[in-house]
This record gives sequence, C-alpha cells and structure tokens, in this order.
Amino acid sequence: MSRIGFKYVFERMPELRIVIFAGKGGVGKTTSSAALSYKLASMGRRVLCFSTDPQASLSDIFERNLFGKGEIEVAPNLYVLEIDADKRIAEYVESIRRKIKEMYKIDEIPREVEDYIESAVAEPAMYESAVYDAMVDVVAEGKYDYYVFDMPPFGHGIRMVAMADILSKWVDKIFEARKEALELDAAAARLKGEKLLEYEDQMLKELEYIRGRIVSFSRLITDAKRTAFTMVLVPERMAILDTEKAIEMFEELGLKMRGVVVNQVYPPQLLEDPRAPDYLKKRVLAQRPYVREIYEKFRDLIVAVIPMLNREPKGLEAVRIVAEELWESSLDLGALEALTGR
Amino acid sequence: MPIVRGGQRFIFVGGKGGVGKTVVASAIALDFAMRGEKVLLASFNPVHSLSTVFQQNLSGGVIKPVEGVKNLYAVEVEVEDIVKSYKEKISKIIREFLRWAEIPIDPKGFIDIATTNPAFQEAATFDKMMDIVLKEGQEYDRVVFDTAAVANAIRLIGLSKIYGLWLQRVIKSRQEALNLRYQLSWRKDKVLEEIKKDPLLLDLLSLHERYVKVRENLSNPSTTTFIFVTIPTILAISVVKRFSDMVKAYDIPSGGVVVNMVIPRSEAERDETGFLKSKWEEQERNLALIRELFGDNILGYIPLYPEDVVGIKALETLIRDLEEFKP
Repeated sequence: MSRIGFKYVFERMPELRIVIFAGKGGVGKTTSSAALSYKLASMGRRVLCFSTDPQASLSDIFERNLFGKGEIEVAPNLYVLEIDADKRIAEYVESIRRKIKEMYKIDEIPREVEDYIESAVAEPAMYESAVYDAMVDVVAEGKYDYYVFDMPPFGHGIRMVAMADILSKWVDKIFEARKEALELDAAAARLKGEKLLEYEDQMLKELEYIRGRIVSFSRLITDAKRTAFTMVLVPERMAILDTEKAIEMFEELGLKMRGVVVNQVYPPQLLEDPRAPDYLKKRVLAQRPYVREIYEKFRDLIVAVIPMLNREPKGLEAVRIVAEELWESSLDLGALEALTGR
Repeated sequence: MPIVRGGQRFIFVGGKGGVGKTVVASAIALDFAMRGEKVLLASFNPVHSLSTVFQQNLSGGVIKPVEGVKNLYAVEVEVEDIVKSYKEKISKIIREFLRWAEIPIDPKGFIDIATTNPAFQEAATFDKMMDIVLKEGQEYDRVVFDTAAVANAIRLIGLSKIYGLWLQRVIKSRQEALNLRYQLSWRKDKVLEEIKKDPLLLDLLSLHERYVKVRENLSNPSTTTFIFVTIPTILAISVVKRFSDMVKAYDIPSGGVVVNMVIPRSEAERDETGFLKSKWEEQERNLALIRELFGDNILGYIPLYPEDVVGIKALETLIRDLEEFKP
C-alpha cells in the first residue's frame, strides 16, 4: 500500500505553488495550513500562510498576535498574513461612498441610499468577496515561492467559481442593455443639446472591475497545475456530507479536487490502552464507521491522515508534529484500511 | 420548563457549522410537541439531516408528520426545486407583462437578466421562508427553523429591508410611467381600465405587502426569537457572539444560547491518556468565556455523547440533559 502525504503531492505536481485548505468549520483547516507552511519553510522556501479568521486562530497557533498586522515572519522563511476582512470592507464601502458623492456632486449621501449601503455591508457575501480579493492580491504580487490558503468555511469558494461564470454572463447582459440605453440617451441628449452624464459609464466600469476580480479568483483556484485545492475533513457525518457535496459541485463545474486530508483520526492503539476510560474507547469505536465511509468514498483522494493529538495544536512544537504527519502520514492507506475492519 | 421559554411562534436556530444546530432544533421542536403544541420543524440546510435525526424519511420538500410524535411536523426544504419553480414564476410574470404592455420584444433577455442574477438563489430561498412565515407557519403554534448558517436567518431580515426599499423605488417609477401614459392618452377611461390590470404593478404591490408583513413578523420580539448553539471552542463562540450582536442590531432580543458537546468532568478525570483531559482543560477556559459573554442567556448544557444523537429516544435524553446536566 502506497505511502501518503504532501511530499508525494509535490512530487507529482512539479509546478505546484498554491495549496488551498477548505472544509467546514472546526475540521482543522487553519492547523493544516500552518503545518504545511511550516514544513515548506523549513525546507528553505519562502512561504506565505494566509488566513482570514476573524478570531485570529493563526495567532493562537503561532502564539502571537498577527491579526490585521500585515505579513509577519513567524519562523525563518515563514510569513503569516491574517487579514482583517472587516477593515477591507469598511475601506471598500468608503470608496463607494466617495464615488457616489463625486458622481452626483453631493456632500452628503441621502438617508435612503445610506440604508442600502448599510444593508449591503451586513451581507455575508461582502465578507466573502473581501477575502477572495485579498487572496488574488497576494498571489498577483508574487513575492513568495509558495502560498498556503486557509479558506474560510463558507461555500469553500466553489460558489465563487460558479459565480464567476454567472456574473460574467449577467454583466454581459447588463452591458448590452446599458449600451442600448446609452445610445438612446445620447440621441436624446443631442436633441436637447445636453451633454451626457458620465456616471452611467462609471457604473459599467465598476461592474467590469468586479467581474475582473471574480474571474481572477476563479482562475486562481481552478488552475490544475499550480494550485492544489484540498478539503480537510474529520470522521463525522456532516463533514463527510459536506466533502461529498463539494466534490459534486467541483465536478459540475468540470473541475477536479486535488485531494482530501483526514484529520482527528484516533490512534488505533488507544483501544488497548488501559489508561483510556470506556467513554473514550466508545468514542474511538463510534468514529470507526465514519473512517470506513471516508475510506470507501474518498480512497483515491486521500492525500494525508492526521491522527488525533492528545494536546491542543498550539505552539511551534505542536505545529511541527502536525507538519510531519501532513508531509508523510504515519497512518497510511493500509493502516486506514485496517481500521475499517477488513 | 420548556427549552425555549418565550412565547414566540418563529424560532430560528443558528450557530457555526458542525455545532449540532439540527439536533438542537429537533430537540426544541420535539420538546414543544411533547408539551402539546403543534410544531413545524423546517430545515433549510443544503444537506439535510432531519431524516437521520428522526430515523424516518422526511425528505421531498413537503411537510410530513413525524411518526411517533404527536403534533410534530417536519419539512426538508429543497432549495434547488425552489429555485427552479421561482425561475418559472418570474419568467411567467415577465412574459405576461411584456404582452400586457404590448412591447414586441423577445422576453428571453429580460428573463436571463432576472434569473441569472447572482443573488437569485438567496432571493428564492428567502421567498420560501416568507411563504412559511406568512402561510404554512400560521397553522402551527411554533415554527422552528434550522438554517444552514445563522447569517442566512439574520440576513433574511436585512434582505427584507433592502428588497423593500428597492421595491418602493420600482413601484414608484412604475406608477410614474403609468401616470404618464394616462396623461398622454386620448382615451383616459380605457387606459385607466388597463392600468388597473397592469400585472407588473399588481405583482410588485403584493410582493411589497409580503415584505412588510414578513418584516413585521420577524422583527417583532413577541413573534420571533433566535436561539444560538455553540460548543466550547473559541471559533464557535466567536460566531455566536458576532451573530447575537447582529440580531441585537435589528432590535430582536436573542432567545438564548445552548452549549453543546460538553465533555463531562467525571469522564475527563478518569482519563489518563491525555486525549480527554487536554480537551477538557481547554473546555474549562472556553466555558468561562461563554459564561462571561452570555451569562443569564445560557439556556443549558448538553454533554458530548460518545455516540451520535439519532432517534427520538436519544433526543428525549438530550432534552432531559439540557435541563439537568451541569458541566
């Protein structure tokens, strides 16, 4: 049975530069991101580990406050960027306000319009876009050998890929309609001897800009040679369903997921350990059917298995342990198959 | 004492993914039903698990009685089906309107713009939730919503506001257009007759009325409440904190916080492998944080069971534990 680990992924994909860890909340995306980044950096490559967690969990893992502080070197060659999405949103909204004021030559935005802006800020999609925007930005800068992204747990960014397509079509339609309307307006303006207002054009530009950003993001995560899109999951029902759904969505878009990382697998020895209470043993056993299900459903996709640790994955020492497991897993496919009881 | 103490009809259960929203929503619904209230449990998750929790087939997107529990009904809402029928509905309106207005244009372009709109799925889901709030839900004493993300439920209120504003605008310009037509016409009586039949205006007005009603229902603390589920981890706690602040911003008092998956102290003390103990120590710190943040708002604690909560018996145990279990 073949060994697994990211070592082999990098061997098979010589052009690999970007690794994305996605998955539902609490499965260990941030820990995996930190660990893989740490490993790559320890081999002498310049790595950026990117996270967007509003609760700054990379800060917890590296035991340092990194949130909203820009790119910070936490270990030799290992840079961490924990962006403050709310701040980015606030900046974006401010720029919109400025544009509205310029366009309409007003000093104060009317209450009614302000209501729209406030409701839009509350939209979760806003947060999502701000995050993806930041991802596109750092890759475009090109300062690092490797980029490791801890994807926030909403829609895995897949929705955004689908959106790129929908939005492109939608913007095209709007363009068509707008262009016709603009021509009519221009004709009417000529008749009345007026100059055509420029703001309509401005709006089209804004739409075009938004489309450009989403298309860039879509290219980034669907680049089969340079990017490995990876799902992290744990042996639990909802995590399995979520992963299945994600794979299905990927296929619908004609894409292939690079692999899945199975996290928090109880070490099999625990069952024989006299120090383990029955309650713990029951939990180990309760996990088995899900390990089996994962093995049966995703066998060909499993790129690494991380055992359940008996301590919190905090601090560089713990990151190092997870890093070794991610790079070359001690529980290989054979061990996993043995766990499924056949 | 029932889990949810207020008398609100609409109960939204939210929290971070994986904290056990569905199980808690099911327990809340079952609890009410066992106390004799007529309850509808509606799941809006992209992947449903009500069927698993109740060990019976509740799928198909229609309201079904839950077997083995009197007064309890459930529905697993199929978002994809809703999107499809919503598309058909919108297309029909557009076609009818163009025909009525005698605009000889191929409706396809308009239909495409309306239905490929990026927010279309949200709008369709929102429409379905409105239906349940305004129609189906009115026949029940309680409606428990199990939503994929809390954000969606809260967003619902925000959306009803933004759509309401937008609609007002559209209605106004529609009325202006009709007025213009009336002014310009030779045969005003005939035009007036026609205007009364304007399908677009009628539809906009009825939609607007729906939004107003939904807003009235959802932002009224005596009809709607939000219950948040958390587990003793920093990430889950921060999500609940964020959402309960959002709810507050809409002047809706949060109905309380349920703390799920708490490792019992006795089990942690028995463990010498470190697997439970280290988690339990972390949990102690996080429980202190939960108490600090939510204090009197905590509705109860649910122990971390060695096995999944599946079946009505397991839910009954959970309901009992929620009242008695102390971490």
